[in-house]
Amino acid sequence: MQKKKIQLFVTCLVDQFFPDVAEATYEIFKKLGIEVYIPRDQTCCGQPAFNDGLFKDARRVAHQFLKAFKEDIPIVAPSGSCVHMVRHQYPVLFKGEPDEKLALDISKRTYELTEFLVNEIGIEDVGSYYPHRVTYHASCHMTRGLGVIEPPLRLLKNVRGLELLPMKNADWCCGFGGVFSVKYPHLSVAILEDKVRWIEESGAEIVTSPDISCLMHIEGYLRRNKIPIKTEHIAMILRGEES
Amino acid sequence: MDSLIPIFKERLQDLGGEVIEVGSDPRKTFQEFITRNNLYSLASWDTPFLHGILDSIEGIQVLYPGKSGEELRRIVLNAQAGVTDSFFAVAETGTLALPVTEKKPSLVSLIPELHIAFLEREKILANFEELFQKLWDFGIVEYILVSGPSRTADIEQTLTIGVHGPKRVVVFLT
Amino acid sequence: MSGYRFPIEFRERAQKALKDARLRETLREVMPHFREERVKKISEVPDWEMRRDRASQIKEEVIRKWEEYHRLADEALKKRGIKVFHARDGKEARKIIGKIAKGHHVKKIVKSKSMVSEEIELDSYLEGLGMEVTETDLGEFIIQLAGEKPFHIIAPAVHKKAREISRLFQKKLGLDVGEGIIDITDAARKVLKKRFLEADMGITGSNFVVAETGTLAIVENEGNARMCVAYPRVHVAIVGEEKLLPRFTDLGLFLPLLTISATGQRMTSYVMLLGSPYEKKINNPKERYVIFLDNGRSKILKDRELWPLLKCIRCGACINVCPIYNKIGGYAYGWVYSGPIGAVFNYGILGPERAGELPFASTLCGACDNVCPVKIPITKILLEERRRSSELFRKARGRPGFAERAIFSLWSYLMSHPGLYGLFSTPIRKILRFFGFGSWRRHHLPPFRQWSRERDFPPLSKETFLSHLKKKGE
Repeated sequence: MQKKKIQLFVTCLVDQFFPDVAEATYEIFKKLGIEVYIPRDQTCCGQPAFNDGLFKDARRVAHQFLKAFKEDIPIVAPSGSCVHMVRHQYPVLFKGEPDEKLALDISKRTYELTEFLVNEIGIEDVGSYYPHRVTYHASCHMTRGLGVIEPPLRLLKNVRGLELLPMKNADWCCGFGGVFSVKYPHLSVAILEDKVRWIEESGAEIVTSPDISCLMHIEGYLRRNKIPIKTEHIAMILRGEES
Repeated sequence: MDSLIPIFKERLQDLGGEVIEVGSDPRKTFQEFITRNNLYSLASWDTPFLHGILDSIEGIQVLYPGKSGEELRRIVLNAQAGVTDSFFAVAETGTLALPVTEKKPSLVSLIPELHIAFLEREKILANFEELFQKLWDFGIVEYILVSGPSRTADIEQTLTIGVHGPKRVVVFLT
Repeated sequence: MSGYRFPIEFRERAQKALKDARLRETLREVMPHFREERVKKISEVPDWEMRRDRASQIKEEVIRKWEEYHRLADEALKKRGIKVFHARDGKEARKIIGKIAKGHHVKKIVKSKSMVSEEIELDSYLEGLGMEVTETDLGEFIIQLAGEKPFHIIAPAVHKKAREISRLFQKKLGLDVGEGIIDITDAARKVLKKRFLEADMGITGSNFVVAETGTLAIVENEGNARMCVAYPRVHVAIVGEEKLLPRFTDLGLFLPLLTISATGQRMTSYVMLLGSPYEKKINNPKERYVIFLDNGRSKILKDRELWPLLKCIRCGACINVCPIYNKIGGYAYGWVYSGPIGAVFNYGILGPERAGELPFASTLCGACDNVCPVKIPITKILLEERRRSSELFRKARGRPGFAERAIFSLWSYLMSHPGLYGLFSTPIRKILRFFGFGSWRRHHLPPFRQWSRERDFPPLSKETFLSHLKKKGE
């Protein structure tokens, strides 16, 4: 499928805490010759409130998303979790609402980065160089939410210099869970401890994922416990280092 | 059907059950088994086939379901082995389908420590879907579906064979 | 009178469980086995996904034609000489069973595993009538002796070590039992054999009830359910109203689906397909009763979002894959059912005031949806129940408090006004970074405090991506 232009949904966490990820995503598309339009009035998909059962608050924020991305151009985001929200939860959130039609339309043209590259435009090699031992955390929203399992792995396998090491229980939850991470922090970290152990057992120096929320949670723990493993969003790896 | 026999054997053995191929002479095979296992007191279903096998075997006492519930309970409590045949069997799961009637009481395959079941090889079906279709076609009676000896892993997740049901299930394949 | 405490204080119970090292060790050792065995057996079944689809459809058919199938079932059961009762709630169910027991001059009862009987707290009621009730599943027998509640739906005593059980037998049964697992099993077999022989009545559940034939289908491994049915002269089966299957042949699909999903067994050692009682013949039981329990299921049936909960076949597969359950076990859920299905079902039956916190106790990872053999959309229902607690029921336990709601109101206002959102890119950002949000670190103001007890919280970046773009003039 020829897609020459996309809209970039930065996502609020990336915009506020990890803007390099958006920069890297932009550069990937630029390298592929795809035009990237970035709506300036974008903010957030509304998931945090939705997660807490506060649908009205979520809808208010999601409404802004609909406004920002109303152009009929595919939307791409470096986040499985946000894309899952738009694709699967917007139809629920806007059911019977005035904006239902627009919401349904947008839900059908929003894609996660790796999913878009592999499934929509058939790219499995982005010409990246990243000489590190990397392991992949298959987030809940990517695997069970969107059903996107192969694309990130295919892309990583084609990165030059990258050694992809398998992780035990790669698709087991990391324990973040959105508001759960602050409502039940001890439980959240107890679950994370298993994930960290499996990351360590993989022998990798870097753990990657398409979801910055999982990585933020994992890195917070790695740093607190002085574990010398780094996290890196998959967009950074696919943009790669200078060779 | 022939291809189902190895699967049935494998699956039943996986569960701790045993399968003995009966040659041309079921009585002889059975006699050898009785001797080898020092069996002398059996409880059995009351069927013409089983009478045909058991009544002519020497040195054993065979008791068939009696006139009363107390008698039945006494018979099975004192028997070393319970003998039944099988209505059908399932290869995929190593299952025997045993009807329950007055002449084929459930207790015979439940109380004695050893359950001996005769099974005609043509009666082996592929899977549970086929079994239930057959049972439906034949009309609904009460059944016990037996897949190997009784078991539990309730203590420390360690498998223990033989709890309330038999410790050993031996299928004589005719 | 009730053994359960409401409202269910999940947070406190979960904290307690996290501190229990032995509990965590048991879970770590035991749970992977169930998951691995299930995966192994599923890989043998090429049409597993098709089976799930069909099973889901059949269960939806039962729900759609609820009254019709219940009428059919009642007729079929009665035709077999089985007496049928429908109990509106636990109180009514207990009374019915008590009356049956008294009518038959029952003094001793043997019982096999039934979650529904836990729902109505049957044992203590019957004991109150002066009857002796023995739980005959080995694990249930052990915890009955210990006076505890089951640890896990399928493995109730898995947290008890053999040595501990041996001492329990010595103390409560006056038996001198060795400390090996085989010794214990042998001792239990002897004790229970006597109880089976002396029992007047056997009480069981039923995994399925076939509407067209009135067949009760019961699965087990030990043989104790067979004993409960074949020894005493009266058999009572207590069953949730949702346990129906339309046709006898549906069992051919559902039985392996259940056993593989539950314990990763191709089939359990025994499946009983029960029909008429034996009235005047030599087999037992002479009388059979089936009691269907509503206890709130009819309310769930009419609920536009919650009705899929009635598809559940009680396999426990969702429990085995739940990251939360795997950390805290079943007690934290505070009622009969635990894990993912426990969270949603307990809420459906008990309501938001008693069980309102449970739907929030999940990361929404979706592992449960993935393994459910009848495709219950548990995650979707968790979110709906959260919505109800947050937006509808003021008295819901676990409902976001004033501060939380205020923060989200403010947040949603900010996020729906790009101009205001852009404020975070101005000198306000420099100030925030200076006052604590400039590096990975611990924080002292909520909700960052909750986050950073055990993890560092990330810094705000020097610039947001969007403001950086603005600067570049792109």
